[in-house]
Amino acid sequence: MPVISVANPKGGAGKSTTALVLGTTLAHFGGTVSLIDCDPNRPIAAWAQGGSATAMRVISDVTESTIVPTIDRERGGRQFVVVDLEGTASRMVSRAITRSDLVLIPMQASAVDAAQAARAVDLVREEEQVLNREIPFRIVFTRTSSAIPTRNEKMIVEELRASGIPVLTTHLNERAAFKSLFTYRVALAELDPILVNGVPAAQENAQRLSEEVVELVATLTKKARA
Amino acid sequence: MSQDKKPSFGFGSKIAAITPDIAPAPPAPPPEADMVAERHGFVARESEQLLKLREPVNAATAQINVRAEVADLNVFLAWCKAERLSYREAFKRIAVAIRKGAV
Ligand SMILES: Nc1ncnc2c1ncn2[C@@H]1O[C@H](COP(=O)(O)OP(=O)(O)O)[C@@H](O)[C@H]1O
Ligand SMILES: [Mg+2]
Repeated sequence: MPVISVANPKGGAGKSTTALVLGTTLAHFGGTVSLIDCDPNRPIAAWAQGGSATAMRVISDVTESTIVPTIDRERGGRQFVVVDLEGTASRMVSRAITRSDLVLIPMQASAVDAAQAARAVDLVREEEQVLNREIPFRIVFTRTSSAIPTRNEKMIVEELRASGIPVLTTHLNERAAFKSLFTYRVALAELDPILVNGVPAAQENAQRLSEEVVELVATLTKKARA
Repeated sequence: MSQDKKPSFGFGSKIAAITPDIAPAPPAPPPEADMVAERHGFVARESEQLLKLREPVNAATAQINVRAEVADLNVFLAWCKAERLSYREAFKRIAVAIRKGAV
């Protein structure tokens, strides 16, 4: 059921990586997943050409006018619908958000990313008013160090907390394995640990992130039904 | 989660608890949703595609030429006009009625 959109109008924030990691990890653990690639550059569709054995379904032929019916069709047949959005403020992005059960907003710990993430947050909040329903969202930090948080990162986390913007506990850390997903065009489990450094640590990170998201959607669903 | 590592069954069962939607799709977002987005700079980036007035036909089609009495043709044409039907749609209605044994 849950439609999880990954949005931030800033390019390079880590949207496609987050969407791909989340989608393939859920599929790896037995979930039925559709990933809708809404970026006109089709990064996920290109990834799928690599021949990964993942059971995740990749859909890429969507437009502003077909995004809503495409989401509606997929949500009826799949446990998870992940929507990877383009790094532009567009109608495609806003329409996907209106159809989401959860909006993940990936950002790097930088002021530029934070400013663009804030645009996504503002949009979500105003669409909530129009639709008269809550659209839950979470910031996801990407490309952070797995070792020690930088001062910059601590400051940004503190600012977000102070303004009441919810953040996922798990970050998608900076790891060569995450970058290699797009180089080798396979899923994490299919990466050759001889060619790529730190695959097990990346898998653990991916699983932790996915578990946090699944727990969150389970809680949100329960809340929505109550 | 490498191929040789056993998946955690705890996580697998949490995933299994999430089910596809059985409820019908919610109503289409109102036009205000796009307007609000536009105010935030989330604007249309595609040139709008023209809607197709005619439904595409998937079945095979062919043509017939009909010579009939003017009075009968006028009955048919007046009916098409009143019902705002194309000839093809009108003929479809007749065929459906014949199949049902209604004529
Ligand atoms: N956690 C990460 N570790 C290493 N590289 C990353 C990570 N997240 C993203 N990247 C890299 O950063 C770049 C932008 O990421 P991408 O996911 O394509 O961003 P977006 O979809 O927001 O434009 C890509 O080169 C990608 O490989
Ligand atoms: Mg992307």
